[in-house]
Amino acid sequence: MESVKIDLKVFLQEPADVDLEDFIPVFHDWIQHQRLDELLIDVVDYRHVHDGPGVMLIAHDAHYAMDRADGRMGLLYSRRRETHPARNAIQSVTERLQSVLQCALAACRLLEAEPSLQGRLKFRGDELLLRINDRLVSPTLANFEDLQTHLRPILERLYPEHQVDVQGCGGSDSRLAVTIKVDEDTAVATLYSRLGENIVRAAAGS
Amino acid sequence: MSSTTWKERLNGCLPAALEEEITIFETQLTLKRQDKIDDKIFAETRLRRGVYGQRYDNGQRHDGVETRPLNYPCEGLTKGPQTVWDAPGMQRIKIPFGGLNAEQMETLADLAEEYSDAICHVTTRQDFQLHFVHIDDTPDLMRRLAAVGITTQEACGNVVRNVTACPLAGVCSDESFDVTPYAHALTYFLLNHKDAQDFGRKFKIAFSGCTDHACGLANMHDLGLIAKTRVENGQSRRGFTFYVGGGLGAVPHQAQALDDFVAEEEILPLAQAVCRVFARLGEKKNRARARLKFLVAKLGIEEFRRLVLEERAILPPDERWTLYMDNLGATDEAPTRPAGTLPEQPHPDGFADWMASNVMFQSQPGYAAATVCLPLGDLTSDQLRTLADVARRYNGGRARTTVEQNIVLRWISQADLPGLYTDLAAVGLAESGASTLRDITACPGTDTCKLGISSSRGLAAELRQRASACNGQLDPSVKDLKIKISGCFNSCGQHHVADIGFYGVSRKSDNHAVPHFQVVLGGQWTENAGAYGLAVAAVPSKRVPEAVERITEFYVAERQPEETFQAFIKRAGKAKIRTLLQDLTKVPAYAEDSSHYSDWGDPREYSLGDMGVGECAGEVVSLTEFGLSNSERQVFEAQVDLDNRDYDKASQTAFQAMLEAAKALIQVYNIDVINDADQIVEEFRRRFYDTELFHDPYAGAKFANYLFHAANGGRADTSPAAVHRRIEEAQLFIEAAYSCYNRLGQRQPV
Repeated sequence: MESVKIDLKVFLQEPADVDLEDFIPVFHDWIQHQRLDELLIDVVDYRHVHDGPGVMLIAHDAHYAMDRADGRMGLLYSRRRETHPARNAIQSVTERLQSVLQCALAACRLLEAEPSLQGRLKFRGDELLLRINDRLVSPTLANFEDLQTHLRPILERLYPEHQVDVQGCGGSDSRLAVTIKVDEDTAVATLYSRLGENIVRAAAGS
Repeated sequence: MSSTTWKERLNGCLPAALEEEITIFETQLTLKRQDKIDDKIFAETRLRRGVYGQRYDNGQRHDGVETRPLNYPCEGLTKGPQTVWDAPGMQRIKIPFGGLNAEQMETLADLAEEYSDAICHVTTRQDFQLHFVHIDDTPDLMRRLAAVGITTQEACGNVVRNVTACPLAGVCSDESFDVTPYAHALTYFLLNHKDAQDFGRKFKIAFSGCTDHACGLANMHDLGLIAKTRVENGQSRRGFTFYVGGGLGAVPHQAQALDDFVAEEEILPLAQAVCRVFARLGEKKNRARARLKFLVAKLGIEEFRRLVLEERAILPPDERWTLYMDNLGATDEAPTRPAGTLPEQPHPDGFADWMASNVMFQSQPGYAAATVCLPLGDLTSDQLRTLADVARRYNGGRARTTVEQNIVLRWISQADLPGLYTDLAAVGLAESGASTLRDITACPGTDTCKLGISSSRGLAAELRQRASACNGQLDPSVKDLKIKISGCFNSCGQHHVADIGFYGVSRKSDNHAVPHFQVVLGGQWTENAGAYGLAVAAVPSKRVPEAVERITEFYVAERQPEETFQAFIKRAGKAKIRTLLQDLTKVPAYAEDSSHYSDWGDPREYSLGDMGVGECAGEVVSLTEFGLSNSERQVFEAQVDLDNRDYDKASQTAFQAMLEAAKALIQVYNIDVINDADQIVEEFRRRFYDTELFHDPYAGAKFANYLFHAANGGRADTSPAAVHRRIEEAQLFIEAAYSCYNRLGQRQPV
């Protein structure tokens, strides 16, 4: 799986006591104070669109959206390219998936701690949506199994001693997608810290 | 997993001409990355493929405190003057007459997800636009579009833009006849036509099926064609009233009739003649006066008509002028469901409102056209994909975009309307209020446009929300008023033809910049954009909703029975309206209320610092410059062929490169040069060799002889060394052509 275009959605715990409008000043503030290790470009307001990307933070390598697809709000991290120097080292699918999770969870962690949101939102650590946003990678059984293989070491790290259920959920849009479900909720900050150092190099070292 | 590319995946699925076109663009990207194409030429090259700039592509952004650099990783590489390669851009996708099928909708949805932000935006010219697209992704994007019959060619730049038409063409009871096949024919006749490549500015065409209604907006176009029939010798003949020189922009002009009735078989050649006159006499240097409307105004319609008819008379015949008329039914849409009648109640909640505002019964009994309202012209990829599916089920998968930024589904059996409503409602696409006060048109404005001054979309979203909230209480007389908003004076939001129009301006108050909108009243949407409004007052952005409220309340209170808004404004007088709004033009002190110092949907303190150089005007690049640039690309391709040891092809391509350069020079004098090797060589010899115009000051005829040698059989030697030499000679010939063109300088005929 050579595509760098990977989406990861982390869902909000419902009901969330936040309005989408609240994210507009937050994302502008992130740009102003360079809160993420990304080239952050702009904020886009799509609140007027039904079940759409809500409010988006556009970065050079990825988009971050407070997304409402399928009526479920969550942070959708959508990687587009890998030009950030930290991503030069990515050489495997597993490393790429780990990097995507790191970026998404870092943004979730930051939002949960955002003072202006006053602790009004909490992300779910027990369910993730992962999607290959590239139709050159078809949602075939072989590709699904391949993705699972690459995901496994990361999920073992994220959810040690838990049964993780990975289900294919590719719909009518012809993209390879899986939902990742765990029987116990875990804080996104904990998940982020569990991701730790580069998973492939760590394995090689051991 | 898969490691194929879209080029490999779609191999054989694209029309050969489009595949070649896209491959050429891909090569141009490669050459630009190597700094082998001039910025200006490359900018116009990409614009002519719809690859447009976007706000912040100059590598900086005002973050509310100060302007800071956006350090894109491309290290100085640009895609045009002051336009950074890596900066996100906009891809405009032409949809001629707004006609779409389900497969095309699905592809647009896919592309928005993979290359853009999962939002598909419908423009005021029936195009689609995708934002935040990287230029490196555009060739794949174009291939995927081409595979479903869409081209982005000439979507931007100084060319014929998307040809628009009434979205109800073919189903409207008021029309003289269906204009769709004519719009289709003119689109593809002028696409890449040699007579439509050398304009000083863009050229917009619209078709309308009738005179009275607005759908075609023919009066505000460079070329507006309104369907008309005439009885001649007892037979009904189809034709068009042929308007020229209309346009909005900063200085709006009403179109003037070039001819009251142009027979159907004459519209293509007459349009070609107009293009030739515009290319020959239109302004090229002063961009602000380069549209056709200025030429028509300068010459006067009588003289312009004389020149066009003179040009028409000498045009060499072209079978394409009338070929399409053998099959005018090719663009017809046939119903896929039987005609029916609206079922008795009960109907779904909200259905009655939707029926009243969004549904029009067609001229064909038992069928209806339903408008899908898109807030701010936006819909998500998921929605567009679902819409494709819904369209497949109800009308065979057809849809049309509208200049009001909506989508129309036609040929819906009236019996199916409740079901259609329910299916659309399931994905949030059954909003009522099409073409009413709630259905606000807005250009991208400061959201993504480099020229945006105020947030047209932010204001539109706010006004839409307020109008929706009080929809039930709105007086019937204001319910159908049109609001249209542009982020600057350039009128992409078509504010001149709205009942209440706005365009963004900036004012200074308390030592800070404050976003404002000029209120434009008196415009006429009907009668094909029959009249343009005028600005009455500049109101701070945050006070525009109050201004709308006040104007509409004034209208409701003071109007005479049956008096239209336009007539009311005329009677009341703009001075009175200005007085009415006077207090709203004041801006509170910053310390008192700083909210006025930022725009709708953007908490940053307002600044004009993000404005850039617009690309609406494109770059003026002559046919010769384009030709010379093409010849360089061909030399590059010859080198690639040589590297691949395809010596025959490399030799031929090197020769073609010389021919292309020679042809480009000839076009300084004769744009009708025939694309034939022998004729090009002969004409080049006569115009440039015999006259010694091409002679190098030191090397004399040396470089010209490279062309003659290759043309006289020299290219038959395809040994590696000979081909290598020929490529070098081609490169030198092109350099000499550039030098010659520079020397010609001011000697170019106008």
